[in-house]
Amino acid sequence: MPIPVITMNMAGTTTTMTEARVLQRLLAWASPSFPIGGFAYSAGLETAIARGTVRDASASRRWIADSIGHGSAHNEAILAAEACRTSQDRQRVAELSELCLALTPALHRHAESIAMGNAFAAAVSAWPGELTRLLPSPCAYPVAFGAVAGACGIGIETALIAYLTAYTQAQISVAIRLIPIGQTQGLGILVALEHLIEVEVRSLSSLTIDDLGSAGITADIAAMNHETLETKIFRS
Amino acid sequence: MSLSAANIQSLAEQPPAAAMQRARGRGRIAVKTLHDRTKLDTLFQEGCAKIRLPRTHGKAIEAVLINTAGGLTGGDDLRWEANAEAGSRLVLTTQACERVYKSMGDVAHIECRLSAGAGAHLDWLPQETILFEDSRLDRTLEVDLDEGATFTAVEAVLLGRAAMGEAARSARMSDRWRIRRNGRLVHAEALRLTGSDDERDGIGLLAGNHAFATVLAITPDADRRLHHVREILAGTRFAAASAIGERLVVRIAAPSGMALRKSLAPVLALLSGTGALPRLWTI
Repeated sequence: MPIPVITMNMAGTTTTMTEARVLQRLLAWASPSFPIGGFAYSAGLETAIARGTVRDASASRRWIADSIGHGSAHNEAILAAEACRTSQDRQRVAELSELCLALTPALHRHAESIAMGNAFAAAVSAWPGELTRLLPSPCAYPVAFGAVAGACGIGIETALIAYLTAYTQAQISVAIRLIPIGQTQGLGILVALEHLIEVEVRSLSSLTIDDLGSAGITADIAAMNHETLETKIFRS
Repeated sequence: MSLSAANIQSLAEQPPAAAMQRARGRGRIAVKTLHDRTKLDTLFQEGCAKIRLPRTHGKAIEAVLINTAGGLTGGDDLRWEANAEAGSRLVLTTQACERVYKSMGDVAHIECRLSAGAGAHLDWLPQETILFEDSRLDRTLEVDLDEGATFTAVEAVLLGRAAMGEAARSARMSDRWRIRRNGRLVHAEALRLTGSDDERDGIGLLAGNHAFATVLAITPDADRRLHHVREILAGTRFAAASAIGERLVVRIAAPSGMALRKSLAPVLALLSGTGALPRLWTI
């Protein structure tokens, strides 16, 4: 997918985002070392592993693919894309964040989204453009990511490729640590899901919040049951 | 009956929309408080939507919603509205399971708009919706709660009739909830089944289950009730509950409608305003 050269217009100033800048920022924001604490959350996968639903690399891949294709990651990607599209409208971004949190019924996932979103909002203040000001407080993480990318003039498809790839890598790292599976098997999952992520992201440009919809019932149940796991390493 | 060439011609000219009768129904009920009792304020019914008010002995009015078309198919359009004014207590349920039959292309719509005034309690407890093969349903639930109003809701879906060996794998459905307190969004649902096998079998999706339900309670003691709900659901394979602030959400998936009802019924009895299931659920 080509990364376009974009002209950004914020607060009366015109900045040109070069291909290099787009890549630099997305690599930073989607990196596991970006200080938003993503490594601490499993989005329900820890419960699925503890209950024996996910016990190998193949099941890990299916669990992640279900979420991206038809589950909560699909809905969150739609919300991130919409936030990217409407990033200059502060009220709209706040509504999207509220909707994202209202759609998240599991306490630990709800806390995950707010903690990562707020940390993301704080961390992007290192870049010029007063990006933090665009975001409500609290802010759901997918909406924070999408809105900040949009405000920097980064295209929806490019931003969402980064978002969903980072999500996938974070889920794989949960499987590597908990099942455990090997690093090579983990990379195998990432390779196997490259195509799905690309197809999902291409569909997002034509989807709006009217198209929200998940069938992730058992993943929601796993996310809720994280609260009653006896021993846990992750916070969700 | 024999058909002449002219009859065949006139049949062929009939547009499909006119050939198939679309069911349309509008039902509206409002209740208010008078001398500490809930009284009927307005009742409106049109088309295939009927509302019956069986005598009850409790403080609440129980309204039974009836779709006299006996099920829904593509293009059918059903709208329910209910308002429980300040301090009143209203239970809404349905006479039977809502069946959604095969569609020839169009989508069946069910739209529900509910509101509860200050300190009122509203129970939205329709019986299960049964999706048949090739059915298409779009459902929306919009709820507005004033200060201190409490609310309990369930939506349960059965995919085909298990007793008939059906799984309704091609059934499609979207369900959209928006629950607001003083205009602020406190809960939302966005469910979508697109008729894909991935959704039905996916380990993080329906995992092969043929029935599922969501229960919502908006109540100041959500945390305390969560504890009881978890006791009821202990041992149920696909079931969980969580509470965030005043919202308590329960999700259950089960291999059959009967198994679903077995875990759902005690949860609803616990969370409903009357502390019991509507009588029609148990007949």
